[in-house]
Amino acid sequence: MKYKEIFNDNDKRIIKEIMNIMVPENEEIEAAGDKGLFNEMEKIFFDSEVHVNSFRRILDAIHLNIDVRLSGSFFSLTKENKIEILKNLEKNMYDEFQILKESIFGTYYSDNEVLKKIGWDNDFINKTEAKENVWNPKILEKVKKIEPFWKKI
Amino acid sequence: MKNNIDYIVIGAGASGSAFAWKMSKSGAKVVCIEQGEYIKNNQYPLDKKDIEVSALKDWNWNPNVRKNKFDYPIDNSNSPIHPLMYSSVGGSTLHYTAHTPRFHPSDFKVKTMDNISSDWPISYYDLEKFYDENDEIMLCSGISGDPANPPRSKRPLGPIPLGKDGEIIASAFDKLHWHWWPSDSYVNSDDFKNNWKFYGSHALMDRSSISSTDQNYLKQAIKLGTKIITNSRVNKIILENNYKARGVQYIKDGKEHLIEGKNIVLASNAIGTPRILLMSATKNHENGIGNSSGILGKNLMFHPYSFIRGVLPGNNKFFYGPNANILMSQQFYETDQNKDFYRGFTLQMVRNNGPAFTAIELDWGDNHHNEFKRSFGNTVGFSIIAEDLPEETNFISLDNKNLDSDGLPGISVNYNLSTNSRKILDFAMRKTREVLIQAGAEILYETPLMRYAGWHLMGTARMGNDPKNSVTNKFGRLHDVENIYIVDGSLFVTSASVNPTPTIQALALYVAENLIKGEI
Repeated sequence: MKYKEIFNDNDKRIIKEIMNIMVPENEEIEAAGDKGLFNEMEKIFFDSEVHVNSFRRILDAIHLNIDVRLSGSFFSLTKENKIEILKNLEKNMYDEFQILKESIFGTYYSDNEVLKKIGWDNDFINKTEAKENVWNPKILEKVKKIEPFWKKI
Repeated sequence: MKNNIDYIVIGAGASGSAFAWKMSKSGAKVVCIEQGEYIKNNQYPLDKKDIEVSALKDWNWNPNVRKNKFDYPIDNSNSPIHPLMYSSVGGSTLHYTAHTPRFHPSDFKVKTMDNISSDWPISYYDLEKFYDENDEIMLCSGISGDPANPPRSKRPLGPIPLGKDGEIIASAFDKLHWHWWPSDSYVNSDDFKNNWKFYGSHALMDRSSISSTDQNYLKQAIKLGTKIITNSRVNKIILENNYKARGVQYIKDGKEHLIEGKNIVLASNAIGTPRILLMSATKNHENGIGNSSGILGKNLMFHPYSFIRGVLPGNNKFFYGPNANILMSQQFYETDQNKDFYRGFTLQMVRNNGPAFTAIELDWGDNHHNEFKRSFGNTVGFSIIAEDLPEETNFISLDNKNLDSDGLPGISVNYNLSTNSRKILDFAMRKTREVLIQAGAEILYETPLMRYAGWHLMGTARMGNDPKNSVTNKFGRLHDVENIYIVDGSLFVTSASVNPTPTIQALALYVAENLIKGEI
């Protein structure tokens, strides 16, 4: 299943808007949708039927939302209204929303600029932390004084 | 296929591998049929930036998200907890945290002690030497002397360092005068200093340092003669007569094959095993093989989990080390007559995740970046793992609407959290807050019941002495058919409140040894 057959331009705009709401700008880094991460998300997640279907169901629920229908489009709503719709979807479509959330954050926190900003460096952790961690036998001194309390049966 | 196979083992995961090894060592001819394939070390997403993405997608714990061709569909719409598993040579040991505590003696005797549920037909002491044997083969890291558990043999490997965060939590327990102890773990502590790499997603962190049964059991079993047939899904056990099996039918590359053997051993976990027995129904076993009691598939137990995470002050980098096998507390493990619930829980410390998994646990929206900055690298969490008591109203059944890639029925899970489990979790959350506050942490968030946490599958073909209320005898042999055995978590009568893998493997070794001795 290819996402291009599933998501039209309007759907993509809505997804980008959701990305912007969920992961807003962070100082000099743009919000997730404005940063162009939809295309990355497409590459990473949209070869998966489960992911595509979850996004599809979320989008359908947005299109069917009474506020969206009354105002004409998702984009006509205030940011507060959009957040309220998303919060309701999170409650009522938990599994689908979880997939959406995982896809957005999974994409955002794979981005080099973002990883640099948060200081995430696997190699650094592996090289430095490993040297500092040693087993400290003194840590058991107090707990060893507890009388055995398992029940023999 | 006509041959002289002694044991056809269905499933090459935690239990099937242990059973196959022990039987092959005794000289028996063993064939293991596995629906999945071999996973090579270079198939793991190591040294890749996208390790967290892999854990969300192709390596997701949830088969309904992962959707490998080896997975079968599971309808979770009637369960607040979703079953998780992995299908491959090595099974879920390729995909677990390797936290490996044992059951307590009391876990086998809850009827005698608390007048609830049922006793197991065996005791802790029947399994003790098999726990030891398994710990040796799986290379358990840890330290003896835990006052909450019976004395045990020297751990094959020393304990894994607790880390600064672990020591903060240990001190908090000390101040409360509560029990805690470094976790037993099938993670190689010898690798810790120089070889171990951590990538921020525990299920997939350095696999070469985590024991799994494809490496620790099956390599040796294969040298001893075990044959593994991969990419093959058993769809039916074939009976010779009402009381004896002749072999199994399996599907490989879309074609059905028959393999005959003297004994059939089910090792496909507490969902996969009853699935095969239910699919094998015949005219004289119309509700499935081994189901004269009517309880096959019933008494499904998960471990209901709550989760609480706190944040410690400062700009810490509490990342390094195992994610969930650091230390545990069993202060509230046993039944306390002064409380309004039976049995208890284990508190399992959980370390920081990598960035994506950290973010997923936090709120989205305007406050996200502040919350992320405050918590990333600074958190300490607790999984609360409650004992789940068996209930016949919690069960799995075949789902003929959702089929797997071979056209076989999926599974429907029907499960409700019991009042007792809810009471345990509510009490445990209050106590966990005390630990975190004692440690100087602020509560970041609380999850009263974790949805995607059905890692531990138990109880759907329980062992027992009475064929009216159990599926197998105390040696894992079906009451109804003389040469079919079960060696996985389906056998569990109760669930304890610890990770079940060592107990599953000890049971497999126990069944094997009794077969070798001719005790069964």
